Amino acid sequence: MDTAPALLTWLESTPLAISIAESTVAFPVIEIIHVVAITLVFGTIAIVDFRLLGLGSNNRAVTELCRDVLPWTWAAFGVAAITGTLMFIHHATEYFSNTAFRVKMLLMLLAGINMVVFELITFRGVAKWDRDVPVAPAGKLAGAISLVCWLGVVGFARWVGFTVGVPEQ
Amino acid sequence: MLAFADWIADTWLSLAIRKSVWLIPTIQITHIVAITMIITAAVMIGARLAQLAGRTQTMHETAQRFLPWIWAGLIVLAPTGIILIIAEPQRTLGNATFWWKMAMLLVGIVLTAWFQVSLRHDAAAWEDRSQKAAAKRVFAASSILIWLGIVATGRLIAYTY
Repeated sequence: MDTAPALLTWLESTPLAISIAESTVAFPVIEIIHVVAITLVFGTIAIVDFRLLGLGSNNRAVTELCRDVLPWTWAAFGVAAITGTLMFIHHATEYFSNTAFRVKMLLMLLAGINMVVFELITFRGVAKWDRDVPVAPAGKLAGAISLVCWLGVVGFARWVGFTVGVPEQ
Repeated sequence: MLAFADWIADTWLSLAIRKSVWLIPTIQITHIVAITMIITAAVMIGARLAQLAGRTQTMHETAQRFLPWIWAGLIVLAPTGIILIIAEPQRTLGNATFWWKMAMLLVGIVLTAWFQVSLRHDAAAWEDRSQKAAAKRVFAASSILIWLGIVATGRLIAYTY
């Protein structure tokens, strides 16, 4: 027997998952909080990405802007992760087999890898392009990749809502 | 209003939008991306008002950075929202949640415009950290609640229809 389906079924059978599935209010409330959190994750990351691309906040140092804005991103991401997990467990099998959901997870993984590369490698040279000059090409690329990935996350997240609970056409 | 909604639903445009599998989702996604701009901008302005972010920036600089995002977001929201109404008019026009959303939208626009005009008129007053000026800052930051309410009711339209 596969462990993945067993794990998914177990998640759905947890008391928390059952109470979410049985409540008429829980899902919409969790979903609204998730949507608000995701808007802030995408929006605050976009502020930094725009700066890397030279499209906004150019009067501020990259380091200063990151210190100022990214804690908001992480806080919002924490809320999105918790609410996302709650939504996932209540129909784990269905979400897991949903293509839009899988693409969304893959895009988040890509965004994560992009972030790690940026933080560990590109950001080491930040002193050279922290302010007044265009960001190094690697930094610009990181900003562009991040924007595309998170835009995709928002898009596919909405698509999950259109496809989960809808029978295959 | 419901008769009007029924009439819209029967127009060729409404039928054409509904007939497409991908049009409504794509327009909804565009609508949501525009709302991310507004929520983020409102939170960043609110955070600056509360001294929680952007402390190295003046209120004027913060507003200059983020107010255009709010107006640009609204410019995208309006046509995408109208297309969604035309596609499924009964879903919105006959739905009290939708009208709550529109009422809050009006308040959000007025609050934002008031803030922008007030800041242009007297930028120094917005740097005033005294107790006396606190009420004004709280009032301006309360627009965050309005935008959050708009997101919440926007999502709830799907549940109350």
